[in-house]
Amino acid sequence: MGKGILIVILGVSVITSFLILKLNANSKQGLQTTVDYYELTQARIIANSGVEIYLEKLRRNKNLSGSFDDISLMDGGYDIDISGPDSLMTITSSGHFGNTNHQTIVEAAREPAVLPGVHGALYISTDTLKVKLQGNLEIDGNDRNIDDSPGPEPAVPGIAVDDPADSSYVVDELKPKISKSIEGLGGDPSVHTVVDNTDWEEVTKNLIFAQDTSLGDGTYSAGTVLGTFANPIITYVHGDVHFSSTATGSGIMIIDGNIIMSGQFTYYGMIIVYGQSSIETTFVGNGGIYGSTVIVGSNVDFKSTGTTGIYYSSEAISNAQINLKSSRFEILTWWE
Amino acid sequence: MSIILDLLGSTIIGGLIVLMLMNFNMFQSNTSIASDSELQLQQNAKTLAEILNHDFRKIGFNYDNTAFTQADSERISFFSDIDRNGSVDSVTYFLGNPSEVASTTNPKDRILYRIVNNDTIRGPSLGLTKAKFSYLDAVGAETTTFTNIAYVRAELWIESIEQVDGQYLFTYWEMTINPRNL
Repeated sequence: MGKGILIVILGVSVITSFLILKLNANSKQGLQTTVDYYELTQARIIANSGVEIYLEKLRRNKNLSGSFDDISLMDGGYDIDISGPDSLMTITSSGHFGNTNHQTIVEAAREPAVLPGVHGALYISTDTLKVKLQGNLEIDGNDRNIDDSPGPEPAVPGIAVDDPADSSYVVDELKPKISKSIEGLGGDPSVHTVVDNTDWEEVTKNLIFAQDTSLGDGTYSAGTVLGTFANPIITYVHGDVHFSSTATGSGIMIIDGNIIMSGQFTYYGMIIVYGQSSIETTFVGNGGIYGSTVIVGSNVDFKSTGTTGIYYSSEAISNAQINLKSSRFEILTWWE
Repeated sequence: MSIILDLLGSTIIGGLIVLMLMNFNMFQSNTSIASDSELQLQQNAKTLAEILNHDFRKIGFNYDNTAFTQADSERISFFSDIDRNGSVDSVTYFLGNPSEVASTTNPKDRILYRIVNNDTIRGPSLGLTKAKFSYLDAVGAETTTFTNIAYVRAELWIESIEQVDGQYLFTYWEMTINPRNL
């Protein structure tokens, strides 16, 4: 009897053990199914995040390219490869999490920097204008190349303003000698009224977003280089600046503040002074701006007492347009 | 007389033990089947989700015009270079009829058809009994306008293909996919 009971108990124990093992194995497989899906999702999210992170880096570093491996993210990691020109960049991100890998391949194009239209060698848009032009100032709306040879484009106004009253005011303020130095469309003094539909806030916001360098309040002395003609850049100036000595630049400069240019400041491209309601612009040196200069504000006080030249140059502007890179991308395709 | 009583008593006890063992065996067998069915249900649901996830995330890939050609609750058709070979493919998903699945005991399960260009792939039923597709715009509101679709929501009702304890096990899977190329 005792042996029989022992055999029965052993038999039941064996059957129970098999059942428990079976249930345990199924439970493990079920868990693994869930974990596999989780890992796959995590690997995909990490790969996608890698693309987003490097798009942000590309926004700030416009020459970024190549391979970047083993970057940790969310308990996993990713490798990135960036190749191709700005017009068709391929960003390949391989995300890995646990034992799972996922590849995301994105084709993107960097959008060009958008430059505003040119109204004149110097365009001033304001409600209250105060102008004081002295010295050997030269404002020329005739197209000229940066080597001072004539440019191919038709002339624009030397000074363009929005309001006929401003136009009359400027002409009245000009001394005879200076009057002959305001050349361009229509002969001297070339001061004309133009119709401007530019959303300057939008234009400057986009350019500031794409800035390559920024300057704060201060005096910038000899050796200041804000881009070259071969490599123009977008410069954002926030605050009042004084370029006090030999300085050069090329591209676009957005100035949110007042500006004094003394010494020899030479710039190729566009200078846009915008952002403050009251703007004081003082040119006392002997530099030159090739391209176009724009001043937009409620109160503008423009003074020039040196030998500054403000020249319209389609060459300088188109060079900036061609070479400047924005920080916005158009996603052409996204494979994940 | 006592011997007869002993035999009778031991037979009854022995019979009870045998019955108990048989019952226990049935229990463990049922438990094992239920566990297997649950696992299969879970794996089928995951497989279906992976298939839809894989394809829906590529809606509009390498295609510049409106990607959708059909977008209703039971059928979705779209353009995509689904195999990334440089040529645009037409992809269609829809559910077949329950009568097409005779190999399972579940009378409601259906086949999810995936047609790429004219090549129809029909796999096993995987226990799918119902699928519903809905389409959301950029702010998450339902839309039927192809050009406004920014998200595709897929809802899947999946049952076990065989009965367990007289009924079919059931699971529901919902996912909202944002195809980046839209």
